[in-house]
Amino acid sequence: MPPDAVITQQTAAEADVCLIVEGGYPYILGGVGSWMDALMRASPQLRFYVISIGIAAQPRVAKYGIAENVVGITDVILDQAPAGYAPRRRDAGLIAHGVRLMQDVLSGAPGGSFEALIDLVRESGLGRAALLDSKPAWTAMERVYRETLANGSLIDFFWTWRFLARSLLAIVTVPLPRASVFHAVSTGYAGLTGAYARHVTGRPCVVTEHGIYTNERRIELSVADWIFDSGAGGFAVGTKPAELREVWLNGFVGFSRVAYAAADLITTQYRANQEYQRADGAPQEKFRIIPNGIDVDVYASVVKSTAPRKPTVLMIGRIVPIKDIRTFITAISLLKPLVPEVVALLIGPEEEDPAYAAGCRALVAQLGLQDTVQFLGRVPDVKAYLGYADVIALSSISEAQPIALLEAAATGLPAVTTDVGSCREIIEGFDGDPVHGRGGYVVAACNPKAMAEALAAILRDPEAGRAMGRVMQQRIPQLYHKERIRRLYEGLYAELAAERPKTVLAPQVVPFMSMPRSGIQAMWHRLTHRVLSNKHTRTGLSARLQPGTPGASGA
Amino acid sequence: MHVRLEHGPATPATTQAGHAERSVGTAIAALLVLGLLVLDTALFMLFYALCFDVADLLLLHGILCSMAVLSALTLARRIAWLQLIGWTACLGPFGALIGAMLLLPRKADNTDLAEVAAPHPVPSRLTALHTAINDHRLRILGAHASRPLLDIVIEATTAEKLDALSLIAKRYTPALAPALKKALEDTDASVRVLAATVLAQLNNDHTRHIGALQNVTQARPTHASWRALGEARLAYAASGLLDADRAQREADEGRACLARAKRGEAEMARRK
Repeated sequence: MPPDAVITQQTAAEADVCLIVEGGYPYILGGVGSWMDALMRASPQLRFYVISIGIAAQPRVAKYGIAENVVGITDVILDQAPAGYAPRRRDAGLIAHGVRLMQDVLSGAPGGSFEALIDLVRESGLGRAALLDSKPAWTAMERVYRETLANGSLIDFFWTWRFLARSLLAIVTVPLPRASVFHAVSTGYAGLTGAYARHVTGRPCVVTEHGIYTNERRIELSVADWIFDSGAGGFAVGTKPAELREVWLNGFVGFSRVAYAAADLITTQYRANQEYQRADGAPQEKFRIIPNGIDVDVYASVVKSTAPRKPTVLMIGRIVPIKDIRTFITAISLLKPLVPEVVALLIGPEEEDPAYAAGCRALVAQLGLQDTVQFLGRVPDVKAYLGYADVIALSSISEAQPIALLEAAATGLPAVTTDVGSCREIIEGFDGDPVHGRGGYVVAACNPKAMAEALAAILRDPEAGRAMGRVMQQRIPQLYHKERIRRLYEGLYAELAAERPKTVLAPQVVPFMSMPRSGIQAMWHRLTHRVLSNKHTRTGLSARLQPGTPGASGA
Repeated sequence: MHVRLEHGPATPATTQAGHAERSVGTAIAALLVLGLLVLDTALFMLFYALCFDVADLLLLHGILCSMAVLSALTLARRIAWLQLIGWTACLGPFGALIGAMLLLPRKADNTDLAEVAAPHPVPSRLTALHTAINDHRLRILGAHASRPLLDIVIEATTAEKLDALSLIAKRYTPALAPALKKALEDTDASVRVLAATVLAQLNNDHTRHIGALQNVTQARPTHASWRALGEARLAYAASGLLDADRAQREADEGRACLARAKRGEAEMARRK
């Protein structure tokens, strides 16, 4: 028997904000995890609850120290949806309807299919056993297959459908904590959970996107070797037959549409992201920009080492393919003839993709850079290294608004980055930027020669490097100060918490009580739940964010 | 459940008598309909000669058409007759003319049923294909929509560009390098990211392969391992993934490896 789909690690008190994250905090180190950790620590007066979405194979060992103000964590295991009750013969129609709703959600069809699915599952008590494992579910799945991927492999479609539909069921059966605001830290499964919470509790929901979820999935799927591609489309673009990757992609686009439709506000770090959100159906009136924030004072006080040392390039980031560490290493090999004394320090954990990390070490040996490139792993205090570096490099293929770059920039380090996320506006400024001048160079991704030349330009001309560092040091406090960002988020939470809850649904019918679904029991559930939810709306967040406190000043 | 039959089955004699009666009735009804339509036509001619006004015309026209409908209901081919009356009701004498044309019997089908029923020899697949080519009926589906991938990367929509890059990732050949590199400069960040991902993946495949062969050559240098390493380096140089300088360097190293392999092989041959 599979373990429970939901693992709650702490008994939760009522929370002010429930953060919902997919595949990250507190189990995986990374940008979004660090951002969440910083967000919660920045507002100690608020109580946070965390819903962490993952899969069974993901190790669940916390990599972050859990902040004091986190009142509970619930793990949602996507591939272990609850079984629900065993279906009866007369449930066939209901099952077919449920599968149709799941199909609508997974194909991105407009309308309230997701909400209807939530209602169906909650009122009927149907779960995996009925909607995935039963004979009527198989028949309905065959119909979906014929409508979606008639020329594809049924086996491939079956497993794809099974994962996507099972994860949908896992989401719509998550036990929700009592919280004033639900905050999904991406679209995808996190956004879907936010939409679910919005529908069930009537409480407001915010969606924050660092990277654009659908873009990231589209890119992953484009190069995925685990998806069979018939090649039937030849080299024709746009006219190719439906492939399995389209089924996955439509599912993810469908999730985003549900999340955008349900969200009260949609925030992101920089403007370019909003174009993609709009293209995926996000309404303009819900948009807000809140950049990442760092503790500028702490980083500005980092003392630069004046001791004689070799020219040093620093790179901070996980050793994973998306950071394209191999391009950085290749760039250092090309830099070596230009700046023979150069030293490159790589700071970042290697455990997320050990094979890739081993490949990077092998590449260092292959290029004869053992004395030049040093892998330092995870270090206790990155500030110590920022004082000893001359330039920070970032070779990522994809980023949003890298915190490592902001922190290094706040210490006055010039930067060489790839043209990803908002790196260009951090380094070169933007229209209306009060600070003029460049703080480094932006080069094309996957171009080690360009990166090497840009690094050489800074290392060979220390005075120009220092001038760029000064530009960065001036620009960062203007826009990316932690206090400013804290006020923006607290203001946003206060604004949303002040909203009256929308319709609140009756509590979920547990499987063994599924039989009556009839008037009296449903009325009783609704009545009791309404009493509870009325209590719930009198949350303490408003009290903790009275006008006059910094957070209540609005976004 | 029991079903009681009200009438027995018709015998040939009763069937023949019934046919004769029905034929006479049909002929009378048909004549009546035709007569009424002729009257209606005459009515329009009188109207044309200004014998009465429009209201009278429409009233009489309606009465004649209704009578014709009632008479036609008893006819065997009543749908065809009703069609004729309908045309007449709508367009008067012109309608009657159109309806009458439609009622004319069509040319009899002279096809010999036996001939139709006889099995035709099924052409072989090859013959069918050949006939199809001769008749210009053969189309390669979607071929007309194929465009060079570089054109797509330059001017198509973002979705098409991503599709093109996905194809490039799966079927990369050096000829596709310009399209891949062009995509790195695209204005859309998602296109740049996918292009960089594909480029990084292709580069990694080459460098990993070369790294593995280097390790083998260092651990146990043989002519074969030097040759394999040289060929891998030359393949990387010719892959179109590297800039000119790096490609040149890689090619030089590859040739050096191959030269070393050749020297070893020659030495071995001399010893033999």
